Amino acid sequence: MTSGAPPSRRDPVPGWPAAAPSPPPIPRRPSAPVLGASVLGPLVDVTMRGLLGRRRILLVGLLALAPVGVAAILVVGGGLGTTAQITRQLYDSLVMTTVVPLVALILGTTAIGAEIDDGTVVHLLAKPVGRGWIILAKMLVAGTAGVMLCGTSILLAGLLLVRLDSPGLLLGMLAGVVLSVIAYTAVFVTLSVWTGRALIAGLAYVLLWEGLVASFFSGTRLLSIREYGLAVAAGIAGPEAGTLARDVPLVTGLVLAVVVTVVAFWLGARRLARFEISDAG
Amino acid sequence: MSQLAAPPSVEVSAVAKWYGNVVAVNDITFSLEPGVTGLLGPNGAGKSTLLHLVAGLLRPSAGTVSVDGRPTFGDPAVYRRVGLVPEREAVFPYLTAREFVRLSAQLQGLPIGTGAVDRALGTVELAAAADRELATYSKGMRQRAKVAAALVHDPAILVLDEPFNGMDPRQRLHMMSLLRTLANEGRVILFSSHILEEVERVAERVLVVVSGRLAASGDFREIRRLMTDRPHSFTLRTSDDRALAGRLAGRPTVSGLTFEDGRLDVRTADFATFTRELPVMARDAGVSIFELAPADESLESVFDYLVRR
Amino acid sequence: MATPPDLLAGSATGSIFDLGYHGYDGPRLGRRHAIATLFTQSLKWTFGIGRGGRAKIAPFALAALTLLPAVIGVGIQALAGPAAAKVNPVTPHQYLTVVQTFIAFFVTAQAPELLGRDQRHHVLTLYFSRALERTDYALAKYGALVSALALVLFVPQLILLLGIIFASIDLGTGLGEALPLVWPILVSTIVAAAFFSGVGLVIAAFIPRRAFAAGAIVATFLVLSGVVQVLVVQGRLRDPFRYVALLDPYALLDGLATTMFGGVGGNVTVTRSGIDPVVFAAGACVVAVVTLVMLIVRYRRIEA
Repeated sequence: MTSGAPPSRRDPVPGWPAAAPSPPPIPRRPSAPVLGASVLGPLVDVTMRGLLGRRRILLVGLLALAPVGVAAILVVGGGLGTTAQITRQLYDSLVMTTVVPLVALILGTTAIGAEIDDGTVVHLLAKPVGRGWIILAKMLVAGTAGVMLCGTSILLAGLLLVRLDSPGLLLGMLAGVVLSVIAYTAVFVTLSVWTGRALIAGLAYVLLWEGLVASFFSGTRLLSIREYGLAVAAGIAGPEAGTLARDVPLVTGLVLAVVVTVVAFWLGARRLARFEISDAG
Repeated sequence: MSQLAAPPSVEVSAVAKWYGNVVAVNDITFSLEPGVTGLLGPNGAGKSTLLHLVAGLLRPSAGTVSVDGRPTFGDPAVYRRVGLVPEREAVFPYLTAREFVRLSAQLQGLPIGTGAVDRALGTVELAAAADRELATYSKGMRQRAKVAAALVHDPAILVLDEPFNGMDPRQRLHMMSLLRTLANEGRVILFSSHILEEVERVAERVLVVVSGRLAASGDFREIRRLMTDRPHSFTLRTSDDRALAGRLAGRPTVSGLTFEDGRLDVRTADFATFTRELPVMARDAGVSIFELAPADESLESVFDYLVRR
Repeated sequence: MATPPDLLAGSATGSIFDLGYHGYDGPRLGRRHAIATLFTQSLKWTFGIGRGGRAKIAPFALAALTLLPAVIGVGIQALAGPAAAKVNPVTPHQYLTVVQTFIAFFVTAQAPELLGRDQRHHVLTLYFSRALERTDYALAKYGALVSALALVLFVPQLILLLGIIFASIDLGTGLGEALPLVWPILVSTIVAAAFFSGVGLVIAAFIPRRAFAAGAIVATFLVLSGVVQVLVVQGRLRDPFRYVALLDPYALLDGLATTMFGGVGGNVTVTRSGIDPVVFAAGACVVAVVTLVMLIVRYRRIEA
């Protein structure tokens, strides 16, 4: 009985498997089933390309450098009182309250959020790569970019305003910025793994929680990343802290920030390990 | 592939996946062997969900999906042996094809300089355009880039979700012969499609999924034979159609006869008996049979039947 | 029986009928109608009407929040009795400043919704291949958001006016007090709605991703007011640097209110900068117009 179907491009010999010779093996380096540190390089690379190579980074840079603009205007146009005081004011109300959280928010949510959103994250997940390394790479890139942008910004602004008269203040502000950027970006990266609405959630946290609640209810102060940063800044600035001084001691702020970062990392890695990708994306 | 210690195995056992009230995959069991298996079904039948379950991207709500005896979900190590070509077009637009495949190689732990990247690009015929950004690629080229990235680590199991999407006929033929070649090397290949001709030409076995359930599996011709509650149609060319027809009309196994253009179409409910009786009747009538062919043994008619059940 | 479909090909024994697309040669409604439709649709969408339950949450919640100060103010006034009748903690003069954050949030929530989807899903091609011009599209969207925001702000102020009328000794005096406020309320609300919406829409026009656009708009408002506060309040700036104060959207709002209603405004930037509130009001108008122009230019040049 001949088949009525069109001739297929099958093996001429019916039956399976065909006796074709196998090609020479591709040499493989024996290694652990799941890859570790060696993937960090490529992951960081692709994240950097994605995060920093676009127009978006210009906007973030602009935002981060706003304090420098303010400092410049103050220096050029103002008849200032105590410059140290205005520096502290700038730091407290503009840098730590607005610029740092927003920069961290944009960098942190984009680092993995964009890939989850458009589905390219599957190319990272369908690989024998430890999920923690993926999260680490994202946090590293976002955190480093944030630290560089905001750190440079506060350093320049501080130098413009107080020059080298208050080195303790400068150092303190820098330390506070660096610490809070790292903690913020870690939290926001994790947030974007947990929810698709990470940007809104992050905004709510920054504006509502840190803006309103933590300012008014001193009991909740220990739950605000901004407080950690300010505590560290005040602690390092020592006598130059002035109005920045808080009740929260330096060590507490430092430890809590580290704890938050580590917990965020751990939660993010866990969630990513159980991440489900359906055909919708 | 000869460095494989054991042939790859994929076992899906009583697997179900639901999202709240919606059941996407419902109690499906099968196992895959080396060769090409086509996953077939209407849109929304659960093909993609099933593929994602096999590829370890979804957690089964019930049942198990295992590769080489280990569950696929939550185990990144499984990707050493599995290559996945996802359906979504999205790739990293700011990377070139070469960088994309190289990233895939690096994330697979391949040492640099083995030429695996170039080999993979060559296999999908992207070597010439490899240094352009993926954002500038057409849909078919992106598809090929994804295939190259999935092949770079020489996986024993290849899962492709609608791989022929967006490919022009020439690319499609190339991909089909590529899949066959890979299958001949002992790999397990599972691909989904809703285009019957593609599946018919490439796959040895099909899995037909309808509304989340497995409606049939195996060689589609065999499936056809098993569909006994539906009359089989045959086309005969003989030396004397009418004489044979006259004899056939009297047989209870024959449920329909049609003359057309020098052909005799016969419908029968009992395939086995008919095939025994036909030669006898032909001999008794003194009629020579030149050709006897099944008229509805295409995958299309099989599929049509299964979908409507 | 209906007329049989057109014959595509036919003979004595067989026919094929053309059931496909037939052109329409009748009268068409034209450009005005298209603009009006886009305007009303966008206005409805701003309130989430026609978009499902979830889309209604933000606009209606914000509308309720803007209503709250007015209701509370009038409520207190009513409860306190006729003796303390004139004491309303929320006067029409201050009202806009009191709800300034809600105005910003309304724009943050709705501007990306209005513009983002059309860009992301490449629907602009469809719009521009109709009678609608590119400028019309920009105008209709701008008009819709401004109208929506103005509506949200009018209702509470109307309640405040009613409160004034009914708190007076008699209707005549009440009307006499309330009526002069109508014009300032109209002007200040519309200009405020216009310049806030304009800023939000221009940002949203460049960022198709809705979440990012929202973040960018909020960031803009926050950073602008934060920067200016530090500069103006803390420093004592010389001319021309003092005019940095005009970058603060909330200062513009307060200056506008002060100009229309008279009296003294509450915004720190306005008072500390030493610049006449009229300048701020003018600044608000300028921003409203400039952002509209930017929006039009953006949509004339966008690729669709």
